[in-house]
Amino acid sequence: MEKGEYDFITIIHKDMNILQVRNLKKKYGKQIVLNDISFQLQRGDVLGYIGPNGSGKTTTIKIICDLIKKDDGEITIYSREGQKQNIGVVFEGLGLYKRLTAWENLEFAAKLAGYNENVYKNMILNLLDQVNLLDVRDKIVKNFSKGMAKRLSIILAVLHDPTLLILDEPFDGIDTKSHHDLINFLKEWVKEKERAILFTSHDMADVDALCNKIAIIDKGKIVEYSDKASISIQDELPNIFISLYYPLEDKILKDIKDQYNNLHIINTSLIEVSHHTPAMINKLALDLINQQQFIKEIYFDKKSLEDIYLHKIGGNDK
Amino acid sequence: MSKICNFQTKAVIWKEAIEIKRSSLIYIIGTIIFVLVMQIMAANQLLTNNDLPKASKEILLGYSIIYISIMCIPFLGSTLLSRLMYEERLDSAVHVLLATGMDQITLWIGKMFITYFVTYIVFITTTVIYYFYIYIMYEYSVIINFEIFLTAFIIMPFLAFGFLSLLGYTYWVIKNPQIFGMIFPIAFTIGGWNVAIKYIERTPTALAIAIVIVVAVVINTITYILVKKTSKSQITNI
Repeated sequence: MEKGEYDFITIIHKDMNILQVRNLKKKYGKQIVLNDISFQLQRGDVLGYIGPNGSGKTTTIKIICDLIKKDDGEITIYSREGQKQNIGVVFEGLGLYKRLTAWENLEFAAKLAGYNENVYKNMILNLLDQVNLLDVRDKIVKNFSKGMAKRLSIILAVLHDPTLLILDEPFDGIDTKSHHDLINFLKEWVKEKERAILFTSHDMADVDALCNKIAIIDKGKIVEYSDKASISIQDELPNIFISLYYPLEDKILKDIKDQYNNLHIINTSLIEVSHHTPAMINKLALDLINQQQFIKEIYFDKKSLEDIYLHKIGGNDK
Repeated sequence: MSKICNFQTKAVIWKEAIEIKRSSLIYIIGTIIFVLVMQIMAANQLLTNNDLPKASKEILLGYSIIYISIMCIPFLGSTLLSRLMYEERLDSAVHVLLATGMDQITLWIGKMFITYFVTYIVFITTTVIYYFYIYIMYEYSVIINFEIFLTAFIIMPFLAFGFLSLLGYTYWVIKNPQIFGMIFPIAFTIGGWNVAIKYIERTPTALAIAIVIVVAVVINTITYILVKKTSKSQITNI
């Protein structure tokens, strides 16, 4: 067991947290950069840590990586027995050695982790193959495209089999194919190895595709932290849509508009209902059925992750 | 001691050796040629002077080796350190190393070791070429007595390594250290080094050796303490 800035504890229970951040605080002079940040990651979790520029994402990551000292709070990272390097990290600047080949970059990481040559050779070959870089393994990284370099930096971060993988804007400026390959690779990695990922991105589609938990940070404070499935704009009742198989006749349309003042007729076969109650929705549906109308679907206005994110940060995504 | 010999230091040395080979080979060859041209021009003036006996000229040729170390170690060392330390910060590669559990002392030792080793090998190579060139072209021997050997091959390089480690520290913690890289070799060569040589010439050899070793040890120790106290945030803040 190793003692350092954090408490490294051997994992005993399967459901134990991999990362626990409690009441983390950081100030630069008088400016509060992080204010009481708390979250946790369990095995298999991928946390999307999102927020506008300057909200404190990178500062949180750097504190977790021990690159910046915290002012207050507690960070616990759990590691496997005997494991020294329990974090893998990809920063925006990639962190590759441009004069080395892809193979040499990985070989260096393997040597630093203390692997023997006969062990790391197969590991490197396997990882290169998984991200389609096997053919370019002897190419100098300086000549890599951005997508290739990103793929390399991610396998470099997982080579030593870390418990926690931290990705700071890993998909910025890469092509669709590399993007798709990397998301699949990371999903498989976290599932197969039962590790955890802390992930920051400005692209909500990436967060949606990869993460099962979301933490939204704004001005150094977490304004939303929940499972992706249950994330919502809780203070706003979502509108309900009623879709019909056939367009409504003008007379029926006029009747229901007269009866209900909270309807918005999007078109003659789609009605939006705001400020509703369950009884009111039931009554409206029955009225339509009694009028010989065929209801195709009744559904909530499901807000996208981006809508929720913008709502939470007050539409201020700089 | 464990940090000097551990597998991580060896890995850093291995990686830096590849980087130096790819980035600085032409610069290394250029340094050898430049220093040889300067030395041979100076030697030519000495050897065409008819006032001095051959034995004296051969001793003076031996002393001139001190200048080879003056020119090779600080000039080449400052360029290598800029590449090994400052560029690594610019590319965020050092961020990844420090974030994944590597300590700065191990990294520092690896980088300084390879810098010392390469600059010393370049110095020795230049000296050997110089020796044989003088012997073949002018039929003179470059006499290396005990005093010259100690001064040229041990004391001066040791002192230079001390100052190089201070320079390396600036490349690691200062946001824009290029100015130090420019000033250091010039100031060291025309300033500190000349003063040191004059001082050594007037001081009994044993005392001179002791003083230089003390100075070098003090500089290296100060740098080691500075590196140890440096926070990771200072190194990664660029």
